[in-house]
Amino acid sequence: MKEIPDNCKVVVIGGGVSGCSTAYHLAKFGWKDTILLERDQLTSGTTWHAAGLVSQLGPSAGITKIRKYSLELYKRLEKEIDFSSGLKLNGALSIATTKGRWQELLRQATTAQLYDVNVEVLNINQIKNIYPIINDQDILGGIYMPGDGQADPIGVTNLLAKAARNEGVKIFQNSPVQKIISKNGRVNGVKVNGKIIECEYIVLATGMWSRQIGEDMGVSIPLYPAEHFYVITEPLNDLPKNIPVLRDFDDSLYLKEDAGKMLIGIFEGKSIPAFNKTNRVPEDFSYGEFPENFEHFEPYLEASLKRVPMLKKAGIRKFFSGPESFTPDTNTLLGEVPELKNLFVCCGLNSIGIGSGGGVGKVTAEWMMRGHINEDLFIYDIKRFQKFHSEVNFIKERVTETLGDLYGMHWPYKQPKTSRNQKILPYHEELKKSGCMLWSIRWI
Amino acid sequence: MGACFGVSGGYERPMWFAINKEKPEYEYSYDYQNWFPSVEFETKNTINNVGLFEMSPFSKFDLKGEETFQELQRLCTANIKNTLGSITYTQMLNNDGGIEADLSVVCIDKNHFRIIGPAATREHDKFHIKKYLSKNIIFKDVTEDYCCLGLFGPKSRDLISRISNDNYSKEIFKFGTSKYVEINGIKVWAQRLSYVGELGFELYVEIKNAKKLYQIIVNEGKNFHLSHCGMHAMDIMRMESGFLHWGHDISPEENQYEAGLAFAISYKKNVDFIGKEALLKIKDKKQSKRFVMLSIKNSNPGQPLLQHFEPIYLDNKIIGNTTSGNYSFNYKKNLSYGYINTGLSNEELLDKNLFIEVGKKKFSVNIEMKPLKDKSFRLN
Ligand SMILES: Cc1cc2nc3c(=O)[nH]c(=O)nc-3n(C[C@H](O)[C@H](O)[C@H](O)COP(=O)(O)OP(=O)(O)OC[C@H]3O[C@@H](n4cnc5c(N)ncnc54)[C@H](O)[C@@H]3O)c2cc1C
Repeated sequence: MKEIPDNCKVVVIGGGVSGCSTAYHLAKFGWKDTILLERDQLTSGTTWHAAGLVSQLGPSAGITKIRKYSLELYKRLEKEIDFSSGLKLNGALSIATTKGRWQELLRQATTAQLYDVNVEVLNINQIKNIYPIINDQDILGGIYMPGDGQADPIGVTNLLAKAARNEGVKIFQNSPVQKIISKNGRVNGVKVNGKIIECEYIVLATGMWSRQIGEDMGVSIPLYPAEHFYVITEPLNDLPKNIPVLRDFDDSLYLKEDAGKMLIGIFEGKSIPAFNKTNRVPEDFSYGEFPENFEHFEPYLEASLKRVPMLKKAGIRKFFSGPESFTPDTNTLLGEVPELKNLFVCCGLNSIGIGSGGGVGKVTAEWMMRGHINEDLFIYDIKRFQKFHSEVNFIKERVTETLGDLYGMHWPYKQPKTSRNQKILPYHEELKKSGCMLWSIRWI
Repeated sequence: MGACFGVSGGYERPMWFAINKEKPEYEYSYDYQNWFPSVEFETKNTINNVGLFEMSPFSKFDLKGEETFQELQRLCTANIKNTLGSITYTQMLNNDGGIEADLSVVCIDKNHFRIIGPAATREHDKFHIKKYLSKNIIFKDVTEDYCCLGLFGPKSRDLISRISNDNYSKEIFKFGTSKYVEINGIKVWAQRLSYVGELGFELYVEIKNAKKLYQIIVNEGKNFHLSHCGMHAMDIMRMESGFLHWGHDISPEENQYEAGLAFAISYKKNVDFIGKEALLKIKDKKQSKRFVMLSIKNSNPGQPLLQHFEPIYLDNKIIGNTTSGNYSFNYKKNLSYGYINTGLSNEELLDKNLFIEVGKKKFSVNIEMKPLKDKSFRLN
């Protein structure tokens, strides 16, 4: 086995999709002296159990660029390295059953033209054509992204890890970082299995562990894991193999054909924060699952049977619940933290880590090498948050809302409902009571 | 009735105030907004009388030390004024000339400056500033030590003159300056400027005195038709005035030439400010992308609801995208900011067919040659 070096330029901590991608890009762009340390095995955190949907269109130009690039990268690396990431691009179909949702989808289809993402607007007949098993009763319309689809999360991560090794990155598994060492306000090294490695830069790609790792050294990283659910049905003979991924936002559902079975996943309105008793992710949580919570899932299962009635015939093979980290606004955390020089984060993937992994790693590498980023990516910059955002009181309640926000309506001017009243003005009560017209208050 | 609150920089902040007996709650929509009547009232009352705007969440950083001025000159693109009370609007850049921050710098005392910036970018701006400051400068984030109330509108001077004995005349208290004043025994730092393009004063007051100051203003305000105004009113009026918003209209992706902010670059100050080298390389080149203001022909509120990331067309070709949108009740215009990429000037575009596309529908637009509001208030 390789020896862990005494020093290097960059230590990437975490061997999920984010860490492998960051390490690959750093080395690819020239910082070859990069090592990656994984606590257990690659993918053993959150990555291994992802449903693997990959989609290109995001809520802003910067985010769309990241997702588009991710998909292009996986395709390119599959060829370069001759290793499969399990890409299956049968397209993705999103449907609307409410007026607001339909407007939202049409706005998205409009915006997509700016980024060269192919989006087709479909009427009900066209929807039936590409998704014959759908119940179209209440559907107002849909949009179709022919270039989207799914990937195998473990395949993607191993592909990136292989590519990283080819570029010179050394990857060490079973290497939990016990301590991050700083000197004069900047990163100085890490302690792993009792040994000290000196380094100039550290990337925290430690997924749901990141908040507590930060907390232990006075760095605010606002994310918290929530329980995230899907079920997989028994095989169904007549399930078409070539159907696209289906997103039924108004029912909080996605459905994906998976080797003759159907995977039904949800983004429910009120989610359940994980590790509720301790508020900490155990250090040894590997390939971990939570107990079944059928009661929580049931209403959504019913909705899925309504949407695709043929599923009624199928039994459930697997009920899955696993943790994924969410942030206060369902956007990723990237960039250098303000508290410690040369400590960068690449975490808080909000359930789109597989679809965004390639791009967030690239952006992180560029950000580190340049010292800043020349893109409109404030929406992903960890410095959009303040210290209070990472405190358990705030973040734990907030993630009950943000998980569902992914499929909720993205209304203009929408305000959060949870974790409010953090900072109150001295005249808050007065403002609350008074109307707009101050001079005639008594007469209105 | 009462305020409908939103969150900004962690603060609960009034977005709009209910009129009549309605509930101050959003009824979300992609079309007409239920708060339009409130905001119509708030914005109209501000230009006719005076509005009270809550601005406490804006970030405030104090910098002290003998070299503060020199270091600010290196951080900022504008020529920072080093005379007591003067305020300079500026950007800060990264080494590649991308816009990292959009701020005001106020000289509060000798070797004491205050930087005031948007609420949402507090940590980001602080990080950028501290990255380049030497150890000799004492930096303090004082955002939460002060409240700020904005009194904006033609009657703001009359109102404030009734509650304070200081001199607010146009000869003595000029636009873009600031000073300590006393309002009913409370010490207040008053700045004569406004983000809404009206005669007005930003009043900074220590937290412990803020409630009292608020009450004094509201009591006297009744005699001047003072209205409460929320964030929506402020956002609409800043767009009427041609002011940009970092995070929407500008970011590290843009340079000041593209954004129409070249007036905030000073080469004559003869300081190698951060980003200057990059700017010098593009200074005389024609920018491919440039900032524009557009308005929908036959504008009606919410038809369509303009936001951002909407494509802008010249005939059938996409030439850019929008970055901010709002309906201006004062000018009866559905207004958009954005960037376009054509070889054509605004004059050349005047008689061309321009569109903004929203929800798969194209709307004909006009180019606005200059901000809807003029700047005459500065002289009054
Ligand atoms: C049910 C479910 C369905 C999902 N479906 C999708 C989907 O369809 N599409 C999609 O794009 N995404 C999906 N996701 C999300 C996706 O799985 C995550 O966003 C992604 O895996 C996050 O990757 P990561 O690298 O950031 O985190 P992780 O995979 O958790 O990696 C972090 C790594 O850091 C390591 N680590 C932690 N502490 C230390 C330490 N001290 N020292 C060394 N190493 C350490 C951990 O062992 C772990 O391997 C889904 C998630 C869930 C739960």
